[in-house]
Amino acid sequence: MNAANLTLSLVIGVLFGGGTYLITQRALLRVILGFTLLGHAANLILLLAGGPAGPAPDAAHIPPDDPPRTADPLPQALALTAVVITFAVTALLLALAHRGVVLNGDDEVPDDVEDRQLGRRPMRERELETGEEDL
Amino acid sequence: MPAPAPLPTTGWSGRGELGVAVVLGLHVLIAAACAVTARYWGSRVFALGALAPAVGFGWLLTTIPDVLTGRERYALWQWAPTLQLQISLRLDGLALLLGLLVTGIGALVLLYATRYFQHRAHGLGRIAAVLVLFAGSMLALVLADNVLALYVAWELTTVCSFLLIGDDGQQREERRAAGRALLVTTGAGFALLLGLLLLAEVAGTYRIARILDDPPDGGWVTVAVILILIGAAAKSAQIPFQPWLPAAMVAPTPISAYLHAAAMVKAGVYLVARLAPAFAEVMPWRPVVLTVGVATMLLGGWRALTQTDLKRLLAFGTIAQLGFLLALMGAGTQTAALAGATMLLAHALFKATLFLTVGIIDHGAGTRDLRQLSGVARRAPLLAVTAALACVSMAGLPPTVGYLGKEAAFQAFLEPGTGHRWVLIGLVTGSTLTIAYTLRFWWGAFGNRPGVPVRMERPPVSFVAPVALIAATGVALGLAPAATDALTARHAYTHPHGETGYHLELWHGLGAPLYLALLTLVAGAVIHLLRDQIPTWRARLPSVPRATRIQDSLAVAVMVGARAVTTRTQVGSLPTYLMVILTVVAVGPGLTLVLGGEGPIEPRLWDSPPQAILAIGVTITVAGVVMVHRRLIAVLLLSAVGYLVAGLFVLHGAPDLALVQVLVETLTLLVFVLVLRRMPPGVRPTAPSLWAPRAVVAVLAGLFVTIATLTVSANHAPSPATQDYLRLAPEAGGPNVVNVIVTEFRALDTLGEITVLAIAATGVASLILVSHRTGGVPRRETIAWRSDNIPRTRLLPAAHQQAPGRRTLLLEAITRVIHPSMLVVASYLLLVGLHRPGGGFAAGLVVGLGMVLRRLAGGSRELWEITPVPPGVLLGTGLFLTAGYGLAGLLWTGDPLSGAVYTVDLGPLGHLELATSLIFEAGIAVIVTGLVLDILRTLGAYDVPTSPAEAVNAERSAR
Repeated sequence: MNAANLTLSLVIGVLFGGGTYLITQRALLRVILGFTLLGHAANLILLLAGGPAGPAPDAAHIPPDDPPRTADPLPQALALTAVVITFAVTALLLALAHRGVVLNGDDEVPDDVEDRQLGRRPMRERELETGEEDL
Repeated sequence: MPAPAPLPTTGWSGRGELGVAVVLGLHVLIAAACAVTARYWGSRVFALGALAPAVGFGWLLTTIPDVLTGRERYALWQWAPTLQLQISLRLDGLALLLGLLVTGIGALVLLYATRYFQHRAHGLGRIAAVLVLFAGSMLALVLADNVLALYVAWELTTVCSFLLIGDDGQQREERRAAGRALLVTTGAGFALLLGLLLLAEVAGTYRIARILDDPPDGGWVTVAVILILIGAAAKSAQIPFQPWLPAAMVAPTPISAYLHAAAMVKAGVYLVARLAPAFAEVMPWRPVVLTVGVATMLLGGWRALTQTDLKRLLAFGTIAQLGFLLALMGAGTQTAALAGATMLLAHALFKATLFLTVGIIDHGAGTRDLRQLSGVARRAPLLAVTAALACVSMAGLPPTVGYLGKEAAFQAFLEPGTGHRWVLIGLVTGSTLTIAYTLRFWWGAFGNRPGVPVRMERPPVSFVAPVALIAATGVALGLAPAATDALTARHAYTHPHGETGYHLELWHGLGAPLYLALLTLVAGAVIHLLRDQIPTWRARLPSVPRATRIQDSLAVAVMVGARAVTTRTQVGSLPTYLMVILTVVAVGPGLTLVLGGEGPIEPRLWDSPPQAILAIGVTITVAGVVMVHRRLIAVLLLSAVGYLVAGLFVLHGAPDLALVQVLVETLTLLVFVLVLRRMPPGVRPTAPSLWAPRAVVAVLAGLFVTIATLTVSANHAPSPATQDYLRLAPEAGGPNVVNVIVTEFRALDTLGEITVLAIAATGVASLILVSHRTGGVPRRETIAWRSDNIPRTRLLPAAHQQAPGRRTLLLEAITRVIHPSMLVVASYLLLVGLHRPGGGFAAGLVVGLGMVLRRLAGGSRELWEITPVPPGVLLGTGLFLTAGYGLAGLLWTGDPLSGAVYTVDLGPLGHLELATSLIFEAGIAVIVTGLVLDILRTLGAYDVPTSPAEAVNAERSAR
């Protein structure tokens, strides 16, 4: 069955693209905004993968068609808990950003100093060389 | 050529499989036991370690009657049959021969190690465990009948060797030797892997026995053979890979004796012997094997003649012997293979003996430099005799197994039709050098040097006994040529060519082999007598490129290259890493989607026109979130996106989802605002040079997801589970299928998800609160509210504690009115959740919103009034309710998380359907409430420290 829906797919693309742009930023707040947008995109993908729109899945009022053409309840249940978890994780990320502001005065993500210094460490590779005259 | 007989897929007897599994498993178990018990037992732990190879040796002895009469044993455990991944073992003549060596010598070397390491305190558990693991890996290597299993065992031995040479990594010399051995053998091991895979793919099977039965041919086989020979040559220290072996002599003597003389370095020779019956005729197998083997034999022998360190002398001797073995095993005729198998046996026995002898001398005299040794034979006569027996075997003199092998080797290249006279000349020259360095060894270790003080201490008999046992075995096998022949001939007969009926004998009569042996003896003795001239001869030789130098520069190049790649890719910038990852995601699978040819997708434009209106709204607001640099405005726009998405949910037929989405969106906005109070108002605009590439990646990612979504939904099929859910929901709880799924059908998922909520709430609290969770504002000051001295006219109990300018009486009044009704709404949502939109999540969120309202109107202290318990208690109660409900279901009905529906008659009010899963819903609601409360008490508190100094002060006062 073809459930492809151009409008919804484009909305998902816009949400995902916007989210992607924001998570590559330095300010942690914008990263969190991006994360929330990605969450919306993921929930919509779940719904769309479950099939086309239809009447709400209410077992008391199932349409007489066979198979009944209600919206698929399973992705809805999955997305429902995902929405709440996204909220909890957003709060956690906000607490992290808050911590960054408390400690550093801003919420910018700095470069990893360890990684940067990797290239500046003195060479130890020469250790492998020997002065021996083994043929 | 006759068609190959079908191979059995399982052992011919069940015992075969069980036996080998027990033996291999025992190695792992005992290795672990060694690592643990070394602390208490000291060097005695090696005796425990010896148990594993000893059991293996015993098991192999029981298989001798079967294997030597042609009843080979197979064991096969399927893993992923379609990928040809299986653990397949085969015990034939060659595997038996090597297995006996590996286990027998392994057990004796480990026994010897109890004495050798007696005075060492640290790292014994590590050494013992790795030695036992090595013994197990080596046994697995010779038994492996699957090319991948063989490769894994092969590299396991390499890793063990690295760990044993490097010891504890404290000494520069050891680190360097270990690193070099690892680089050389694993580098070439990679070639081996490629070669084996190529061979298996061309042959169409990964089982070695099948490949050998029906060997493939063609150009790819030539490539595979070359690659495999590279791997084998490096492992067995052949030219030009040989320098790692003398360098590895920094390892303790038992390790040199076992890994670098008797067992591991034989792996390359073993592989050549294994494949020779099928591939000796493939070009360029024979020329390569013979040239490399003979050249290595000559080079090793020559270099051994000038060594003064006895251990290095033996190491070069090992290189020479490995060359000899490679030439014999690879030549591809029956007599050569017979000689090779016999020499393999002989070499393992005499070289292990001699290494262990050097270890005893090193311990007793404190040196292994032959210029400083004198009178060792007088102080340690038993050791001198033991070493002499091994030397006789190394020199190839009767009545030892070395003699049997050497005579067979000469015979193999004297046979008509072999046509390799130059090989014979090379081997005779090599044997001459062998005799010369054998004499040098015994003379160096046990000879008397005038003027050198005698420093040797008498070694205890228990130290020498295992060594003497190995040496005696070499003589015993020589005295019983028929037994030795039986043990080695099984391998020889696997060769299809050169059947001559030659057998090992102590006396073959006068003939060319005997004369050649005599010639080598005389010439070797002459060289030994002229030993003082050797350095001058050496100086006259033209200089050749030093393999050591080349290997060193290669090793350095690898390290420098690794650093260059790392510093360029690991730049430390999180945005860069993310962009790389996202680009790969968008381009890799994206191209596959576009080029994959799923056929044209014909999407409908929309489900209903309002979808398009909401879509335009989402697009505009998302663009706003992305472009605005004022934080507050961006957050408000984000909320707008959320509400619009909730609208899309409604249009899709998901009212429950939309309800939760609206509630969550409101809460999210409030939490954002609470945090924004502490943040600078704007973010720095991104530099134009940075935003362009990010925008490109974002567009790519969005495009990819759009195409992926279209493809996925175009291939949608209605799920049968969904129909079942619709049918069963009323019995399980109520007609609202979504909530019945959440609380019944997939309740275990939900239980996991609300646990995540509890963890996230705890995470928020621990990030914000410095000292303890119940901290923040104590209720002490306001507790008096319950008594009568505070007028009841106050709308909100804690509101008066706010700063006067913050209070809004109107808001307080509205809150006072609205908050109770919100609680009623929440109770309603909870109760009807199984029938209409609502449920535990929505109820908890409404309660949470009520708390936000109280917090905004009455200040952060107000929260302590409405919920006197800390949020942790709420989270715990919620988890207790939900998990307890699951357990109760398990006790009641036998199924966890299962419920029932009861109907309560309320008389004139009608009847009420109560599902037990309401308890579960209530638990969810309590957890969500706890989460919101945690957030409000931390992010929403006034007195959260806003600077490190404040944090320290807060911590102090908390104490």
